[in-house]
Amino acid sequence: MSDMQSEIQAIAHSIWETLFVLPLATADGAQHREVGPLMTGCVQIDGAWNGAVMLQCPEPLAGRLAAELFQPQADLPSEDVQDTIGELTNMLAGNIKALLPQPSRISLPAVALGADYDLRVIGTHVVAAASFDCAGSRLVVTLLQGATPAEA
Amino acid sequence: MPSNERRGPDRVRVATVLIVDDSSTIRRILRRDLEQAGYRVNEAADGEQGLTSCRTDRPDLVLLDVDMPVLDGLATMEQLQADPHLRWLPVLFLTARIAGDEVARGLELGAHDYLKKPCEPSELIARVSTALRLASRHDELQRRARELDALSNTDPLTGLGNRRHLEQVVEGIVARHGADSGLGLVLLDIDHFKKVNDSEGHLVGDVVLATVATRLRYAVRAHEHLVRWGGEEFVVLSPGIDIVDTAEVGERLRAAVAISPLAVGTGKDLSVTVSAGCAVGYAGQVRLVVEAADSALYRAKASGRNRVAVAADR
Repeated sequence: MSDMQSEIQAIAHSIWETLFVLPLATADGAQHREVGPLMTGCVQIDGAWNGAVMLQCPEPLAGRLAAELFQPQADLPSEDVQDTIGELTNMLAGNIKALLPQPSRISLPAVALGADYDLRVIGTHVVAAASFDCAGSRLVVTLLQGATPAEA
Repeated sequence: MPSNERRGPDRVRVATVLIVDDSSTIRRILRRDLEQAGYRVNEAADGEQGLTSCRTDRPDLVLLDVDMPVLDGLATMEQLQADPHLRWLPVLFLTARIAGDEVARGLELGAHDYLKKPCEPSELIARVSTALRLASRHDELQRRARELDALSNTDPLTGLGNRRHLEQVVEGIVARHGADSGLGLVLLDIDHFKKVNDSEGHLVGDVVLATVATRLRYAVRAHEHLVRWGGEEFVVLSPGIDIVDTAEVGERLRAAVAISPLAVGTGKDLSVTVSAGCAVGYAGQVRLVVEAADSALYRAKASGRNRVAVAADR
């Protein structure tokens, strides 16, 4: 297990324990085993280190997480579910960024929703990935690295 | 519980917390937790909006995200510190849980504390409450310091400013208008005051001093500065006037004291008058102006008292 993978696991557990009652368990393997709609949050990092952080979460679980976060009186609008994944990705990226060369900045989160799609950040490759199980669903956090400023 | 202790007369009002964070989700979560605890909440999406809100809405505390577009938290904090009206506003930084040097930098810039995102609602409320309580104590200390400063500049018998106060007035004129800005000065002395003390006692002497001070206070104009210079002497300073106008000030004050006998509480009234010496000069050389006024005052006394004498114009 890479150092960065264990750091991502620790960060994710820390965020979960603060925000959610639903427990998060570290899982083996980075592949997504889910079928059905999948929500993906992506935050890019640029500066002394270039890359991105992605969070993949099945949509039903994203809805449950959003409900815990916002504690709505009525049904949650889909924007709130997307905001939840966006903010979780943002928190993950903000903490991961602190472990990377400085100064680096993080972008606003982008969120994609759909089934059977592949989201790629051009010019990057996976340097670490961590999988988690939460309420019977699989979450994956991926750290992608692009060209360093010297190479670019 | 929200702090209701801020800003003296506003003690009963609910504290307002400004959340500055580019994430609407974070703002929403923090707002919910703060409002549930009884706080009023304002929001801003970046540092510039946050500064505007600080200047217009005057929140009691700011929760400031570090990593924001437009103007980040550290740059926003620097601008808050540079604004004398906002310098003491308590700020809690919102940082990533692994914050690196951001926390140290934020605290160096003057932040009261920091919160790591995400944070437990109980921790949020505890830190906000503590920061508000500390800020309230700071405000109280500042208020007491201002009171002490005012006391050290005030003559306790007459309630007028003292010599130190006049020095500060002159320093202010020099700072605003330069050392070569002109001023007129009237030095007044109660005539035969020693006789009053000797014949009527020091308590009556104090009543005379306080009553003369009251008459002078009513006679001075808004732009004129009246102080008790020491003993039975008073000074009135007026910026930017010539010797003719200064002499008119002296005459106005002399007449205001002499207008009628003073009731001193012993069943009899005392006729009390003042003599006045007038001079003009530069704010940066006020000691010379006082000396010139003192010489003129000596001549006013020597020529019969209850009159005004002027020094030669510069």
